Amino acid sequence: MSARPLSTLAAALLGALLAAPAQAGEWQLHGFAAQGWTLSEGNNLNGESQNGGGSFDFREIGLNASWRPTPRGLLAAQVASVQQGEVTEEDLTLDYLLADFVVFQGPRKRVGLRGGKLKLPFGFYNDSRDAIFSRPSVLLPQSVYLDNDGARAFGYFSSWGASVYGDFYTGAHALNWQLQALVDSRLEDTAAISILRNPSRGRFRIEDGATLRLGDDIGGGRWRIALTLGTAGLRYSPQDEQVFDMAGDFRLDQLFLSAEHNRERISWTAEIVRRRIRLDDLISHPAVSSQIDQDSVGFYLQSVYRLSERWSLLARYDERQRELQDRGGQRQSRETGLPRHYFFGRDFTLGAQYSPRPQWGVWAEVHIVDGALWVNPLDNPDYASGAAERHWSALTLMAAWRF
Amino acid sequence: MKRWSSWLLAAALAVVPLWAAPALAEEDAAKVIVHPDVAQDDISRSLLRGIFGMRVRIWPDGQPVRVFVLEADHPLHAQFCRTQLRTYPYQLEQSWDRLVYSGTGQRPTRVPSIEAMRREVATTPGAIGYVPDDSAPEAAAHAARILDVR
Repeated sequence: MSARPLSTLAAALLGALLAAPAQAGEWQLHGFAAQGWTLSEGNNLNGESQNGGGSFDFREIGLNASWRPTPRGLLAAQVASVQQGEVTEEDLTLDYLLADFVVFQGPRKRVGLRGGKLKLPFGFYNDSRDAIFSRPSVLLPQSVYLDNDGARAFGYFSSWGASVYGDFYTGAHALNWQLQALVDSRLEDTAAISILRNPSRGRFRIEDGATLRLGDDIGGGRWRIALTLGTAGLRYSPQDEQVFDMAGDFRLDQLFLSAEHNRERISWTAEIVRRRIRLDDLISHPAVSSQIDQDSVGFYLQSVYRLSERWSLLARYDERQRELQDRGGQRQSRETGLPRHYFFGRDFTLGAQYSPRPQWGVWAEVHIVDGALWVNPLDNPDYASGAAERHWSALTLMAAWRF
Repeated sequence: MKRWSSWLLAAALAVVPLWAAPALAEEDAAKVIVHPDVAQDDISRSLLRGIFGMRVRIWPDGQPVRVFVLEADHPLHAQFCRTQLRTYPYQLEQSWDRLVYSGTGQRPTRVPSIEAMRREVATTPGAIGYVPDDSAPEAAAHAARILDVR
């Protein structure tokens, strides 16, 4: 199945959604607008952030609508305009567009189906990451969420497909699961940087994919735990004069473990992800394999302290290694000629949030980073030559409004 | 060495606020109210959490659930979250945000006052909300019914 019939279906649903009579409680319209500013030293982040005035190239504007045409049904769509340095430049992008139907609802369980362009349920934050109001910080931990690796262009935020999901309530536990299948779809032109760390080197498409998330909210969310498994088959098609002289298939496998403990004033969150990318059937030579194959691990530990209803503080340690078996990057450095620090990233983040009203928020955070693994080549044109700095830091502010 | 010092700092920051975290205050329970035609005499805490978490869209008899809440900073809302849902207002807000920004659900309907809450729940089929323990919602005709939480 390709994405085309799905987009037609989706367009019909969106039409039905807009043509439907508005009924209180069944129709909802929400939106958000956020503007960021980043000043950095060492490497660029979110645009040309090293110049004296910093970079204002970080904007997120979104609008979503949802409608319950029947008690069991839900239609929903969100469009957005996003700019994040050179990494993401979307004048208008469809975040999600879906039809959802509850097949079974009892006092203790629910089973439902969804189809359309769906957010991908990876870990705690991936499926609601578009608005800063449902992120803990301006920048999500890059070990797990990969914004700066070009995750949006890589189709990591949302994808066309279908899912079956369910909830089961027993005692203090609210168990939830979601099994989602992805359909064949072409990735954006800048997707190559996510894998090759180098722009404009051919086209990628997702040929097949599936993800399963199992979660448990214990005691009304006092504890939250989740396990996510994901696999995707990707196809690479070269353009002229490229390093690759043939098409290749490769596979991305992911395993996430997530845990959170919530108290009145404090929340601790930890997530760990292991990702493996392997070439399937390209007649590979070593230079190609070392560019694509990876077995990476990323994790973060985060603490959010709520001083009051308006103020909160955040502290986080975030780390990613490109190769689990080569944590300092020595072997990869020998193989590629790039510095060791291109193969790891450790980010220590301190942040603060002020929300004078529930609709308004201001976020500020400082990142102190060791390693250039997630420095983006598009924002840092001399990245490919090995010139990215090992030790760098950034200050990011964001002001946001929603309705 | 540098690495260890940042780890230690992170650990310290994570642990320090523990001492500052105040204990949960014991308060009188807010009462759960429903529209008179909701065919339930009582409700389990897990179903109540599912409903106010906006994950349960229909009642066991098939009619749509319509959830009403007060403003996030209303004292009764906080009291209801603590005593009936046994959670915190910020967690409920976060779970609604996750639904809205992933397209998998809707927010509840906000009402500006306890009076409005009583009126909306009494007149909207399938409605659920909450009122202070000391109020008597069944005194008036066509009033909302109180549900006991099991």
